[in-house]
Parts: sequence; C-alpha cells; structure tokens
Amino acid sequence: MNKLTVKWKRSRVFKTTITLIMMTIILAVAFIVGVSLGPISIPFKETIMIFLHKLQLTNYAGFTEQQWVVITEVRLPRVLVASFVGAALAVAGVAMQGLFRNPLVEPGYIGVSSGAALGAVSAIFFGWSAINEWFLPLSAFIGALFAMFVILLVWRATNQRSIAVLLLLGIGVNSFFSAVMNVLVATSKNEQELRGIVFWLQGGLEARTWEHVLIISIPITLGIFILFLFGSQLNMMLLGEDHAKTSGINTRVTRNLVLTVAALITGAAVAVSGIIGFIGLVVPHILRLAVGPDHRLLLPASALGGAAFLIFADLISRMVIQPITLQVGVVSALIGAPLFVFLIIRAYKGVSL
Amino acid sequence: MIDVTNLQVTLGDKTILKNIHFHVTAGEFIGLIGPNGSGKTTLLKTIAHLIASKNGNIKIAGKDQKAFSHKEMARHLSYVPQDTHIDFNFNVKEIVSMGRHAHREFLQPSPADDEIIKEVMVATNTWRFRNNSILNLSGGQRQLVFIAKALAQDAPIILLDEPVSALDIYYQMHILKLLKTLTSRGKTVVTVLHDLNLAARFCEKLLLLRNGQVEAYGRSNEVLTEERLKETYHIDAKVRQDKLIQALNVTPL
Repeated sequence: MNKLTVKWKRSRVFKTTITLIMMTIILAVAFIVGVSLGPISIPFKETIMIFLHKLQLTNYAGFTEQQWVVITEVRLPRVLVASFVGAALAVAGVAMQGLFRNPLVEPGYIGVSSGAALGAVSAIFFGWSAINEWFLPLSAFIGALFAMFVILLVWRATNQRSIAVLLLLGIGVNSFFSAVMNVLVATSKNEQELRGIVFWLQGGLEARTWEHVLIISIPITLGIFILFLFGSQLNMMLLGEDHAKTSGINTRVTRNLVLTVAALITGAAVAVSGIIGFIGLVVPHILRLAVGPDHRLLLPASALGGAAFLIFADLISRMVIQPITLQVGVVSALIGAPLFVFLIIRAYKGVSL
Repeated sequence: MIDVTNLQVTLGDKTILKNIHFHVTAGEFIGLIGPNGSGKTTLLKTIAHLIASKNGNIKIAGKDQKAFSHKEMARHLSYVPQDTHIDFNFNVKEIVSMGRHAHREFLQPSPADDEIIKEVMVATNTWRFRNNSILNLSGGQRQLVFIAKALAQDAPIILLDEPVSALDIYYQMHILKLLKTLTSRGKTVVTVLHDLNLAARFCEKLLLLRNGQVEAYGRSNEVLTEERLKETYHIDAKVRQDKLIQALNVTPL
C-alpha cells in the first residue's frame, strides 16, 4: 500500500525534474544558436569557447577579436534580454490565467502591456527618460500597474464579473492607450523621438545593451521567483474562489500579490522590448498540453519555455529575410497568432484547454 | 460545534437572512431545506465565512469565525460548493491532495498526507480512478472527488451545497450513506438538500428556511408537517411514515 503512494510521489518529482531538465536543454540550445547565428555567423565551437572565456572558466583564445566583440557586446545582451522578457511574459500569462481561471487571459489582453508601453512612450515624449536611465522602466511599470488597476476597478463594479466583460474592457483600454500613443506620435517633434515611440509600439530587441539586461534582470528574476511560490495557491484558485478560500487560501492577498507581481514583470519586460504579444498566451498553452495544469511545474516550465520561444522568434526576425530585419513583436505574432487559432479550434473540438 | 446567533445577512440592499438562531452539536447530520430563494446557500456560505454577516455572530467550535485565519478555518471546516465545474485537466488525485493545503507548512508537505489521501479516496470509492482526468468523470464521480477533497481536509465540520441534486439515484444513495457514516464517526455534516424525502430519511435534524428566516428546526417529524409544507412550499402534501425504510415520506398531491 505504502509503496504505491511512494511511487506516486516519486513520479511527480520525476516528471517535474525530467520536464525542467528538458526545458533547460531547449533553452541552452536556443541560447547558443541565438548567439552564434546572425549576419556574421560564428561557429558553435567558438561561441561556446567565448562563453567559457567570458565566464572566466578558460583562457583559450581560439576566436578572433571581431567574434569576441560581436558575441559579448552585441548578441549576448540581446539574447539575454530576449530570455528575460520571454520568461517574464510567459510566467505573467500563466499566473493571470490561473487567477482568472481562464486560459485566454494574457497581460496584453487586459491592457497591462499597452499601459506599460504608454508609460514608456510618455517617458520618451516628455523627456523623463533622459534624466535617469531608470525613469523609463519605472514609468513603464507604473503604466502597467495603472492599467491593471483601472481595468480591475471597472471590472469589479460590473455585476457579473465575467471573463468576457474583462476581455471587452481590455479591448477598450488597449484601443484607448494606443490612441493616446498615436497622438504622441503625431505631435512628436523630432525623428529620433518618433523612432523610439514606434519601437515600443511594435516590440523589438534591436540594439539592446548590457544596460538593458541590468535594468530588467533583477525585477524579473525576483518577480518570477515570487510567482513560483504561489504554485499550489494558483492550483486551488483554478477550482474557484469558494474552493480556494475554504481550503485555507487567503484569496484576497494571493490575488493582489500575484497581479501586482505579474504587472511588475510585464512592465519590466515592456520597458526594454516594447509590446510583444502572444508569448503569454501561446507558451503556457502549449506547455499545459504537454505537462498538465499543475502550476508548481507549469510556472518554471513556462519561464524556460518563454525564454526559448522569444530567443527563437528573435533569431527568425534577424535571419529569415535578410537583410531586412523584422521586429520580434511582428515575428512573435506571425508564429503565435496561427498557433493560437489552431489551439482554439482544437479546444472547441472537445479537447480540453 | 456551530452556534449561530441573531444572524443577519444582506447582499446589496437586499436582506437575505434575518434573525437566524440555531445550534449544531458535534456529530449531527443536519439537512438545510427550504424553497428556492429562501437563503439556504447564503446561510451555508455565511457559516463557511465566504459571505460576511451584517449582524450577529457565528461561532465555530466555540470561537468567533472572524477570529480564524484562513488556514485555521480550513482545519475546522470544509466546504463542498454546488458548482464543481472545472476546465483544467487535473487528475483526480491531484484534486483530492489540494484538500491537504491547510495542513501544510510553507513548501512542506505534511508526512501523513499520502496516507490520509489514500484513506479518503478508498472511503469515497474514488481510488480506482485516481489517475483519471477530472474532465472525464461523470457528475456523480466528480461530486465524490470533491467530497473526497473535503474529507482530505480532515476538518470536523463538513458543509455541502446540494451534493446530490444533479445525480442519479445510485450516487444519491451512495453519497448520503457516506455522509451518514461520517457523522457516526464524529464528523458534523450540514448539507443543503432539495429532496425532502432524502432529507427526512438521512438527516438527524432538519432546518427549514422560509424567506430568510428559520421556519422550523428539529427532527423530521417535527419539521415536515402538512400545514407547514403548505405554508412554506405552497403545496398540498401528504406526510406518511414509510415502514420499509423507517422514515417520513412526503407525497405532493
């Protein structure tokens, strides 16, 4: 009898370990491929050597100066930003989907991303970003929180509090924010400012530097790890508020904390990359089909999967139609949207989300 | 075990419950009955502290419910809502294990968890489909799973909101017998029931609500009288003793 339970317990731990190891391998491959491919292709062997050298593990120098510069100064920060942003968006997606018990909720859909983008764009437009490097991400975060706050306040005032109403409000808030951003674009005084604003509207990872990595690495890592702690709480929230509450969950604290942290990491992600859609929707969706709905596994798996997804999307945006470089937000939507439609069709054929 | 004094509950500007007084002793099996809209679910949710009361107070095991933390409350009282619908693909055992949350410290499963989970799953006859997805179960099986989850919570009080109304006669009997066995082992069960005959047959005491007030509280033969059924449900009914099952039988005419 006892053996059975031990066996089961082992199997969950086993499944978690295997899944996370596999996801880590996928991410590592994405990382190396993402760093070595580009207009100047650098062989994988040299890439790995440069990694090791950068981490001061070897002092082998079988690579050229140019390769060293391209990798450490151009591609490494870009790929790192992609991993942090991808992880943040996927984890924020999972957390919100769990909280609202609906696999179709995504930070972008309920106005959080556009709020963050508006914050970032305002920072450029009004010149705050020039005062201090932290003002732009801060402004993006405040924008994200503000959007979330407004939308939840309006939603709570409605009678039914249905997800359909929430998504409708999201559409409203999104169009309003993008209209405001269009006003800012139209009244923008100089070319450079305009480019900066458009960048945030489309989402991109061009010219990301170590400074960007530095700005987002701490809030995103911290936020993601805080959300990891809410795995079992989110599992129980899936059964409904009454279930969660009577099972001993402080639902109010859980909801407020999870939403704030999700807004924080979304804001941080948007602050350096602009609006990149579909990651928070597609990555959790695929992983839910592959590993099940248990958030204790789904959250870390999505962090790794989201990072890998965005690195690949960025790679495609750089490589596919050279010499034109598409913005990664465009590529993400190009891959994500059809996948999303496919998943919806699948779901409505009777296969569970 | 449960003491309700002078309870008043309002939702919006509508008073749902007023002047509710009653006492439930440990080990009793109480049936909450009453017409639609009489406040049964609201009363159950208020006892579970899912709805805040406007006036009055509710004591659980001698302590004011407002003084409990969420986890502490969950260790005293488990609740099976009417709606057991779920969209996410958990397996049965994962659902039942969630009942153990209140006994876990931060990130640490309690050592007795696995044994208790198996025990309640065997008792509720859910162990045989422990690895099935909750999405592939019938309504009756799903109801059993959520009762198993409530049992895994290992609280002395179990509240259920219409646990059998959507079920076929096999599961109705199965679940009510199971609840009866639990009370004989010392659990206190309060359940909303629509079927008066099942309520009369299985519950030790019935609490009849009418327009948000307690119309009657006591043994089935005290509560289910022909006059009262007429007043409360507006039906002409014959109340007889069914000799075969030794219980009251209500037959609407």
